[in-house]
Amino acid sequence: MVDDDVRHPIIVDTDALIAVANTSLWSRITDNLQLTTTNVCYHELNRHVREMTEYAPEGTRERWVHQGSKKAVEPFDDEGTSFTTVPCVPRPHGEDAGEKSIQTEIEQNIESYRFAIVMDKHGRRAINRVFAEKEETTGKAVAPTFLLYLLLDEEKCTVAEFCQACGEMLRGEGWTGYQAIQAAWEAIPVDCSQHLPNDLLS
Amino acid sequence: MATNNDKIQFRGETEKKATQVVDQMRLGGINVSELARQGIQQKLREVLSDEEKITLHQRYKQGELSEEVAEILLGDTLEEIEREREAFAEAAQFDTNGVFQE
Repeated sequence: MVDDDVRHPIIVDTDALIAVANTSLWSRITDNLQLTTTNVCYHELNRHVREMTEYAPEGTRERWVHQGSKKAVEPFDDEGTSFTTVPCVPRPHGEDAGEKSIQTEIEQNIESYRFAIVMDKHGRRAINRVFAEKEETTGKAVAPTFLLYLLLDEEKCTVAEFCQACGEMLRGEGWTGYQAIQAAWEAIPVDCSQHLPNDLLS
Repeated sequence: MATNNDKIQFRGETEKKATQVVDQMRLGGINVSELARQGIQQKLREVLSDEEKITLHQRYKQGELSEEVAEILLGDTLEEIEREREAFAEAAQFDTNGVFQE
């Protein structure tokens, strides 16, 4: 873990990292973007790698979490400053510790962050309230599809690749992923119907 | 306007007795129709799988389902997607300085 306290404008939580690390655009993200997470999320990823078996059947949640966590943790271990981990004090506990740690970190260093990438909609809402309370800062909590959008907008991937990655995220994240993807498609806007099967989960 | 055609009927001997017990117990009784409507809405949402919800939302987008029906089946999803779309569109306007590697 590179604990160098470098804060990039994008901070990402555990589940959002798992969601994007499982897509074929992950290497494009690690090659192009600069991301920060908290030590709590970093430890959650490592715990998933240890506790979930890589031999879980293809298509199961356990396999998805194991694989995504394994891929997600790698760039944070590399020396270099593009993927950084910052300590969170006090350290939250419980089921949603990762998400909570992102919120605490934003509350304490709000001027450092512009984008909070969080998988859970309640988490996003709580963080957006934090951003909204500070009038002098600009920040927004959005779903992990936003990272894919950044690549697309910067022409680091094609529309076909973007849609493909959305499809992969959809298959792994189910209904939660679907809502995030719909919102992204409507906001950009982009038409992925050419690039994805009619039955989105097939 | 309610018509005869929008009636839902179903068999349930014990449920009917249970309903009558509560109805008699309360001053003014209970609104069985309203309870049934709420119960069905809640149960319909609960039984839907992720795949079914996605299919239903797709059908709604293609105009095959009315907004009222979609709301019953998908709950606050439509609102949620709209809220997320706004957040996404707003974030897309932000300065991306420092977002990409040099």
